[in-house]
Amino acid sequence: MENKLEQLNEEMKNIALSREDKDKIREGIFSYMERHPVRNEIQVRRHSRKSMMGWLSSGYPSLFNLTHTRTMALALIIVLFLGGGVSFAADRALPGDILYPVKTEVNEEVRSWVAFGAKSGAELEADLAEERLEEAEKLALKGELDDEKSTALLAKFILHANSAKSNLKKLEEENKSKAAYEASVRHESSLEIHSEILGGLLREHESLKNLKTEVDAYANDAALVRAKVQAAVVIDKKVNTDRVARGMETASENKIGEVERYIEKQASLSETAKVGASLRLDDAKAIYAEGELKLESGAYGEAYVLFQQAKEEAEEAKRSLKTKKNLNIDAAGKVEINSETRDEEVKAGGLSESGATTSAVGRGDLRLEVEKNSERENGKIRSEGELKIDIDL
Amino acid sequence: MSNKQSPIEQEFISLYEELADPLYRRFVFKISHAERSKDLVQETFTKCWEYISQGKEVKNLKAFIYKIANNLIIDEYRKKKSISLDFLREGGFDAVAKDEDNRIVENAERENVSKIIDRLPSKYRDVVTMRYVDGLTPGEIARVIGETENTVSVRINRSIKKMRDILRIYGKQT
Repeated sequence: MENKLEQLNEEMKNIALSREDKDKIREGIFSYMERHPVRNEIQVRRHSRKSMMGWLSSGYPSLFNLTHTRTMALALIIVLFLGGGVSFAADRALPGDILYPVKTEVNEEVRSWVAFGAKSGAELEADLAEERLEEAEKLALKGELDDEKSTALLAKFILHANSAKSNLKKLEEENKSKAAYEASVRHESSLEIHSEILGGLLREHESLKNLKTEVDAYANDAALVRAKVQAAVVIDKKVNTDRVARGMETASENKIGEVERYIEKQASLSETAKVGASLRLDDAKAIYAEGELKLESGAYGEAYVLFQQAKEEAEEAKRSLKTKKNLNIDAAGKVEINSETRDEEVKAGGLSESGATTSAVGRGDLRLEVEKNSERENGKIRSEGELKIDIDL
Repeated sequence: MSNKQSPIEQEFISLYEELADPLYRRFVFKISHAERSKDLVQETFTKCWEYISQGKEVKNLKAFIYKIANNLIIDEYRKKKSISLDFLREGGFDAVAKDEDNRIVENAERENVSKIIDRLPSKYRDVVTMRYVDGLTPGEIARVIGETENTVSVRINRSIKKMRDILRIYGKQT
């Protein structure tokens, strides 16, 4: 064997680029570099936010002078009465907004009612942790992140992240390695995305420093947990089957296709953002290919893990693109807050995602699922599709 | 190119000088098409620059470039699924064009070794390809993958052992 390889090496040595070719290629690369200079600055432009208050206070002036808890109770009644309109509007609220309590105490509360079992618990807590991070990022970009808010958000983030961790631990104890693995992968990747975003914002926004430190710590932790669970899932007999591996193969393939189409449809984003996402998608495809090799050789556990990784990588590509859309980092590098993207998602009805895996798709869709469940329970909260409100936050 | 090159630009260019040939060899080895391989070399570096120009930090630029190159190879394979070279060789017509630009470099022995390499786990596949196809020294490989030179040598030896096993198991059918 070694002889064959040496022979190969000798043969390959003769294959090289001519000086001419090398120069020609280098010229091509140079001209590309000139057209795409290194981007260093992210200029921040404040976005003037139209207040919600004008619309609501005109109809119900007395409501918003009440104390916190009474506002809560009345907001809940309004939600039931108007059929989800206020709850929908509250979803974009940030700390300091009138409707923020509705978001945390009503919407998120309802979600926790529907989250049965440790797996949903893990996923929900991970989502909520991520939500706190996004709120901090948006506030920082608007220049509204003071010490009080940042401390509060940090505390809540830690609460949810710890909760996610303990739910994961419970899953491990219950030997539900597959559920634990999928939840831990999702959690790890969302923390990594936000660590990246916070890192990017840190120079302009010192107030995010403590948050980034915590996020990094939790990200490291989440990576360790994921690695541990991964080792267990690969050898788990329930997972190490042809059926399970192929199931994830299909899911992964579908996800990659979906993200590919999503990237193509993005007209409003810069080329660089899209290429960044495409690169991530390329990674996903490479991992998928590796998974297929493992599948062929019968290593079902490993194949399952690789397909799951490919799926998650593709999902990350989409999510980082979505986050950039929400924060609206455009071609010139200027940043503003954009709430309009939510309308598109909700109008589309989030129908592209199947009900079972909504946790992977932004909060709009997860909330959609919850509202459907609630509908079954008490018939009073109607779903998104029936009620449309045009409000600019 | 302008005179004032930033450090990242300089690093990027010297990386090109260093890796252009090894990558070219790797592409030719995998897809047997000289002209396309030249395009892929350029594409590898432009894609890498695309990423860098967003201001993103890459810890190990060499490893990153190899990652991009590998992904491009996988993409090539997917495109080629519809027209398999094997079919062309076995089935009907002789599709080998022999002019300078489109020369398809064929070599049965190389194909066999290539197939054995493909059956290795990725860890081993990487070092074997870098060592015997790209022509990197163990020291250079170590810098790309972020391990010690010793680890690389050991891994190469293990790879050769595994390849012997694979040859034994799968025999001469490849």
